[in-house]
Amino acid sequence: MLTLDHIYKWVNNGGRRVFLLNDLNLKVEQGEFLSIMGPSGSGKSTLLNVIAMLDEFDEGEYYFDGEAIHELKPKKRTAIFNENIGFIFQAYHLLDDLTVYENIETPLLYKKVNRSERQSRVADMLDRFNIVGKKDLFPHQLSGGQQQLVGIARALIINPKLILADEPTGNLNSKQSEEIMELFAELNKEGTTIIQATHSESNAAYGTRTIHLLDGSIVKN
Amino acid sequence: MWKTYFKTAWRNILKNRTQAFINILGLTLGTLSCLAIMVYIFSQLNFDTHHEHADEVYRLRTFIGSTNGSRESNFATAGPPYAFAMKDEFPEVEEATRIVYLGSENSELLRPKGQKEAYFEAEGYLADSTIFRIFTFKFIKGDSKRALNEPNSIVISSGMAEKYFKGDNPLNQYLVQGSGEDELLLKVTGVFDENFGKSHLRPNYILSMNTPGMGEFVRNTTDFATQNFVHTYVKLAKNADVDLVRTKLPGFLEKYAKKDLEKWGKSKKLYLQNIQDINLHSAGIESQIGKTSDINYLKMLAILALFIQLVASVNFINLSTARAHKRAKEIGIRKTIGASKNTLIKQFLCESVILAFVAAFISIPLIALGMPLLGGLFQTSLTIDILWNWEILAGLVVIAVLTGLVAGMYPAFLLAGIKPVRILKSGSFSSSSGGFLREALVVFQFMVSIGLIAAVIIILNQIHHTLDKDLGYSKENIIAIKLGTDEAKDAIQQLSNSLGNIPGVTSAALSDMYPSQVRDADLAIYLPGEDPNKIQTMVYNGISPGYFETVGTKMMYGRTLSETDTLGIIVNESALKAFNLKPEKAIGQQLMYKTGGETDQALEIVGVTEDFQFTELKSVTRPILNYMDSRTDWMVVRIAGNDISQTLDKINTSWNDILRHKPMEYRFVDEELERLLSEEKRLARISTIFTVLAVILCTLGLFGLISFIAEQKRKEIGIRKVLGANVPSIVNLLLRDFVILLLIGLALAVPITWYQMEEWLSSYPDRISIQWWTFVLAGGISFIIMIFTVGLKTIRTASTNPVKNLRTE
Repeated sequence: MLTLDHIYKWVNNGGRRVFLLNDLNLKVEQGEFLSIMGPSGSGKSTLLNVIAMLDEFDEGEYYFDGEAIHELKPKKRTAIFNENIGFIFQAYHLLDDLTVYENIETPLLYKKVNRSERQSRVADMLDRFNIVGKKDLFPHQLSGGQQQLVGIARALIINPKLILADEPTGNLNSKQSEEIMELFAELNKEGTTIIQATHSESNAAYGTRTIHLLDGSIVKN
Repeated sequence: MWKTYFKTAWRNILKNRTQAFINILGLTLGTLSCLAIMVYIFSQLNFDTHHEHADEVYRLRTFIGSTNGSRESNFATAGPPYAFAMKDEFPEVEEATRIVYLGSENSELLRPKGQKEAYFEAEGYLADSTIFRIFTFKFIKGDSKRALNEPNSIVISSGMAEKYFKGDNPLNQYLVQGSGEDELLLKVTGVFDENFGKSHLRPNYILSMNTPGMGEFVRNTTDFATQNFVHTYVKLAKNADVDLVRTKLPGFLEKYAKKDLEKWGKSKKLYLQNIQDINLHSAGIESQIGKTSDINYLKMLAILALFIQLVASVNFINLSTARAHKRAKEIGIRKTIGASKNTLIKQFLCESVILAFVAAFISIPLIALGMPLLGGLFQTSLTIDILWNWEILAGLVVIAVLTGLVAGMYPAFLLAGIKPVRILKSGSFSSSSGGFLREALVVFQFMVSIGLIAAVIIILNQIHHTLDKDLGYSKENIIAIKLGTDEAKDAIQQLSNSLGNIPGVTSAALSDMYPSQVRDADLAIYLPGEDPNKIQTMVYNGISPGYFETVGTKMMYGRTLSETDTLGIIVNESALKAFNLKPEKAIGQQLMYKTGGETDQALEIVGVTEDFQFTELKSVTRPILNYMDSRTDWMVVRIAGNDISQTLDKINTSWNDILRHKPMEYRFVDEELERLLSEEKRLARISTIFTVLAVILCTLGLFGLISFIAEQKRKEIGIRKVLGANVPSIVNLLLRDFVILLLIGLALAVPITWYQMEEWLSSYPDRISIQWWTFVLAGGISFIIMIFTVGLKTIRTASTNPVKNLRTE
């Protein structure tokens, strides 16, 4: 599904080059559930952002579904991202001013999906995550686990091929974490490719494969 | 999608209440001033369009210059014979009419026949019967085609009909004009609707030109040179080419007026002006009927209102960009869930447009409430109805949309350009972008505020300069009582005696014009033994012996007049200068005045006074001659400064004892003088309002900005304090940038304001020069306001315990 080939990303700090990603090679197949582990600052988030095309890299090649991403213009990259990838954040990052329903609906609005289809898709999603009763609440009225459910629902609403999750359970207690992870496993079983960054071995265990990062390089595959 | 934009925008406004409040308050003030000006401008447009032949009706104007080509005066009037000579001469001219304007002041005494109660009635016209073939008046009673044919026929407004005849049918009833010997019986032959729409003609009554007296004089005058006081209108044929007629006007003058003009020693030029242009394109034209507006004035107001709106928009821009970091997270999320830059720009523009519309909505009831105030400010009658014109509402919508777009454009682009990964990673966004623009905009605000403050100072200075100048008489505590009627004139002696017994009355004298009165009556005078064509015009005035003593003008040479003087006159210093007479030889000098008859009349100077400003304040002193008269139009009374109202009561009682049923008309000379400056005062008031608005908006904007900056620099301030900085040094740190911006604003404001105000002052013969300290003062005022706004906030920030600030970082 995607291939990262000799990816380098660095920042210049006082004349010295600090590598965030250092000669990183990664191949992810359709249907995989990949867990990325590593200490803080090892480049997990950077890697996810690069995969999501939210961040640029300085050297190397990136192919997504056969498209050479490194050769594309930003606009086209954004279009590919919007079409294929759902992003889940550690801090949920729901839009505070929107209700649960509206948060889930927003990506569809940006995709100009018509009204009736929006309604049915959001209703399905609410149903699936068992949050129909919460649809008119605002994020601050929900618990962390519930918020993350909404975040996942929002990521899934566009039927993405790939889900990127940056420590999705980092702010949750162990019971909530378990629920989220089981949900991920289920999604993966249904065919969605998932890449998650995590600190937790037990979470990583839900995945089909785990890689370990250190100083921007994969140390263990 | 739009629904969502609106929803999010609305929730965002509710969430950031302080910011929204500052923005809405600012935009409302801006929109309100735009709306106010729009309402006023609208009220001044489309004058005289309702006349059926509006496109074909023209006013004949006259430019009069001396033959040596010096100063040229521009009059709204022409001589009496012009109107019908034009009709005879030009096939294009289908109709012509003349109007003699009897004055805006309460000049004619009228009463229904058989009643004692009389009123001074203003806005009277003396007109040819053709007036109704040229102008459209809706007749409620009577026939407009024949109404003014007969001598002594009068057509009155519906309001006047109600006032004089209550419920009765006024048609064919009689009104009595004047009193005593001059009494004239007038037959009401028509009543017109006084709601005649927007017109430069707003008569209360129209009197037939066929009436004896002034009408007779106008009808019989054949001189094409002098008597330039008749408002002349012509109606051209439907397809006539007015430019062609205009090119034929010099030839017309050559044919009809050449001889008269040569004799008179002046030149004339004629111009035809369409009546629909009169209201907006009559600046600087003398002898107009009523007040007109001025297109340049309207433009200036519109520009001022736009400036206010811009200043308000600047606040919006500055607050939005400064607080961009608050929105950064939202923008990041939206972008990762599929928002494009365009959709975000639309969303933010939506917010600013909504704010602008909220401001527009708020301003509608505000303007409705303020309508009487506005009317007072612009001295026109404005009603709420004017708001429901679609043009006004459409204009308001346009203003709201434009404001929303102008104010929202830059912040929208800035915000929508934020890269999502930055925020999601670090959770913060540097607000340094847009910094330069923000500073430039603050400079702009300072410039507008300082410029306006300076302009107001200059306008007020000019007004005071005019009001305080040495008039050559003392204006305080003089009242002028109108002796408009024969009865009053008959009773002059009795009145004088009666007033003399009132303790509060210091002295009283007679005069045909009271000081400050605007009167253009003048005589052609030449020196005996010299060329009779080398004339000087002199204003003339009939007075009683005690006049100069009463008004407080000093005699320089000779004596005052006595009852027996018939040809003795008192002139002023300017008159001596005009004739090049040596003061010591002036007494006994004769002056010849052109009677227009066979022989001219010799007058003898018996006294010379110091120059005094006998007419309005703005003009320079002209030569005047005063002769003995015991039946004048006015009585000038000097009263003691204490108990003025009591003295007035007593004067009123004396008057009523002697002249029952005749209202006593009086005015204070100093009030009249100020009234003559009403145009300037109005300008001062309007500029003050705009200035206050601009300053309030700048203050609001500064407050918003400094709050933000103080918040942003919390950490820096904390560290500095830990390192030992004291409060003043920190306040200084925060203030320094603003002081620099203020100085740049000041530097830009000086040349612009200087140039503009120099233009304005140039129209005053007696004007102040712009002082450098005006700008120091304006800058100082802005500085103090800024210190208060910025200073209070910074002191608070600087005084906070640094540990608190550092901990929260």
